[in-house]
Amino acid sequence: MLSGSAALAQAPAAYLYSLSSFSGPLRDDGARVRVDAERDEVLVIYQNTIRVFNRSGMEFYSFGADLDLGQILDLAVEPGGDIVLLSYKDSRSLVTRCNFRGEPLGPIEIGGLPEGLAFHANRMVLRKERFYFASLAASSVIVTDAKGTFLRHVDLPSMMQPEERQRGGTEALGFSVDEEGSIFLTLPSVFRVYKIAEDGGLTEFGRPGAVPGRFGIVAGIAVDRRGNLLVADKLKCVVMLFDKDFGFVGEFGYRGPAPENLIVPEDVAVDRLDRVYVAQGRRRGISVFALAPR
Amino acid sequence: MKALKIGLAVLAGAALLLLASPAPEAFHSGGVAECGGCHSMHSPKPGGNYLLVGTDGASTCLSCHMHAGDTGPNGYHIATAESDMPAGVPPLQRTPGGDFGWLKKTYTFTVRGTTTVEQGETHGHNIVAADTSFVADTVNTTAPGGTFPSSQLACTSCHDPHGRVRRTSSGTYTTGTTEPVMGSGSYGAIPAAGFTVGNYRLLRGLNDSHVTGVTFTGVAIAVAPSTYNRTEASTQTRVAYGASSINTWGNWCASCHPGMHSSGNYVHPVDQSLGSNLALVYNSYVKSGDLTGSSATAYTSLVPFAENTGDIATLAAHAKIDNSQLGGPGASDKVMCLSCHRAHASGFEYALRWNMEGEFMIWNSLYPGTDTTPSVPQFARGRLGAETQAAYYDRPVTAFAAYQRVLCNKCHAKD
Repeated sequence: MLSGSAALAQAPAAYLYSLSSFSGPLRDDGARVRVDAERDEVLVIYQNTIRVFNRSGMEFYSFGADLDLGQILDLAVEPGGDIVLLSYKDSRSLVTRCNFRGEPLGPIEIGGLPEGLAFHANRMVLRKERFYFASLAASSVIVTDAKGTFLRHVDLPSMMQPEERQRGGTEALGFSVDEEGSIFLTLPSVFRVYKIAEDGGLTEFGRPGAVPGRFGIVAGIAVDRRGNLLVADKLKCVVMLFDKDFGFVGEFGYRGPAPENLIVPEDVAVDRLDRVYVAQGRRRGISVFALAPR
Repeated sequence: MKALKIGLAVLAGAALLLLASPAPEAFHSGGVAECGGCHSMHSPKPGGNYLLVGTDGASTCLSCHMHAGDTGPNGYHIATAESDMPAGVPPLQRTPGGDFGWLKKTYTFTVRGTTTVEQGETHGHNIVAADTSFVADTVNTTAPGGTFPSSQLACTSCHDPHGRVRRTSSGTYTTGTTEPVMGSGSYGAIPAAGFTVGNYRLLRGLNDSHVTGVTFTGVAIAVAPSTYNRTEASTQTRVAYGASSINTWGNWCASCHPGMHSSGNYVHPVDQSLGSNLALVYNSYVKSGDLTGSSATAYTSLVPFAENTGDIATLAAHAKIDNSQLGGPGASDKVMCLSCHRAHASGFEYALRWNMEGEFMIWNSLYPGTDTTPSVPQFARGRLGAETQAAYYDRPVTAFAAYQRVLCNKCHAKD
């Protein structure tokens, strides 16, 4: 593990470009960004429109504006290319499978839920034919199979220490799942990242502070192909890189006007080519970085 | 030893009270929060102020108080992210102060051949938060009725992030630091002896003059229910506002808007008792054409009033979300700025709680909308019917008369 000063000296990622259309760089504030691992494409959700970008970061397709699915919150791309949308309409969470053009094929009904457990989600991840649906406000996750049949429920607040729960509330701002099925949630009010393993084991890390590796307001989180964690910090305006044992590796971005800087990074994604996509505020759209070889 | 036991008992009582407190007070807990949540000792924003990490104060606040991806009212969020508000979709938060997202909802409509643009910035207090694209008011360069520059308006213009004003166990207010702040004072908590709680919403007061050219002489008194950011589709959210000597809401708002205060100015009264006649009208008014109401069920959160008391326990008993406390005003209760305006922003011009730009709020038993009432665009003003309903916090249209007129009539009953 590198010390803080070493981390500063060697940034763990280099700026590549910003996602763009033929009109110029994207200027959306607070968009959500997802990757299609099979095709190395990137999908951005903003105001009910989904824009699709090629591996060079150029927009080549968009859809969603005329879908009657309510508020589109998240998406996942299946290995075959179908796109699954998570939306919210008439006080209900909806899951809809669409073809690669974004044309709805039909709903995925979430079934088999235990009595008393309602399906409500605003984030979704697809890993190894399992859907992970998160309600960030409640820091809870429902896991289903590819057909939407309930498998398990993770309720982070009930697993936290009472004093920790009391101290900061339980709203998560970031959610991800690694290849082993471990769930990650970031809780900014307690300056923590929580990992809930497939077997239910809970581990956590994070401390507040200004020095590299400490947390300000942690938001989006992503896991790369090696199990490293990328954690966006809205306040410090950096993305921090931790290894799979939660050891701090380094951070990049920092508030500023330069292309390689970040302002209020809120969401983060990483593809199999080690490119990191960071959604920001202040009309800076989505910046793309290349993780340094390690 | 006896003193030690008493001290331990007090601490235990304080701990119990704190542990029993609801989650909304997390992080700030009635006073100065964790320093590192906003400041950085060694890596603040270059060229910034106060070692803040954010571009500006409001951007720092919104790091926590706004987040993309909400599906409805969510905890302590006081604004809806742009990414969740495409055209035709209203802001999602329903706090009593209102959702700053309305500042970004601009509506265009045409009435009898004349096209009008209702700018989003007319919908409330235009905080400057560069990171989230909230910009200064372009029309009012100073506070209406005052001189405070709009370019400096931030959350911290009204709220003190360090919670200088505290409430003691005896109900008095202090800025001293000898009695520790044990928790939030927004939800009716009464501190144990030797402790304090924060002032309502960490609002400035007690001669606070940290904001340029502004002195908040009094204290703003209120108690909110702990679940305050919620739809009012079935029951209302009642914040119990109080008033005591100079600690009135009108006096507090007049810190920045002195020309809007009725004292010495020819404007609508604030901080004045309703008197028996107006209180009777308020309590009788149900909706346009219906004056059959009673004082037991007269309250509406669209026209709140200040109770003539500063007693927190009394106010706490009225701060409910289950319609169990809908009592109307007495003759000594007061009209205040917040009787008509929301503190942050609303779906209507001037942060009003209802649409004043037309004689009808409701038309033909419908919320006005370009889709619902296209023949009367002057009432919809470019909104969809669902947007209008959202601005009324999702109330069913049956809460009003089929041709409901504006809510000035709640006190004046001219309809």
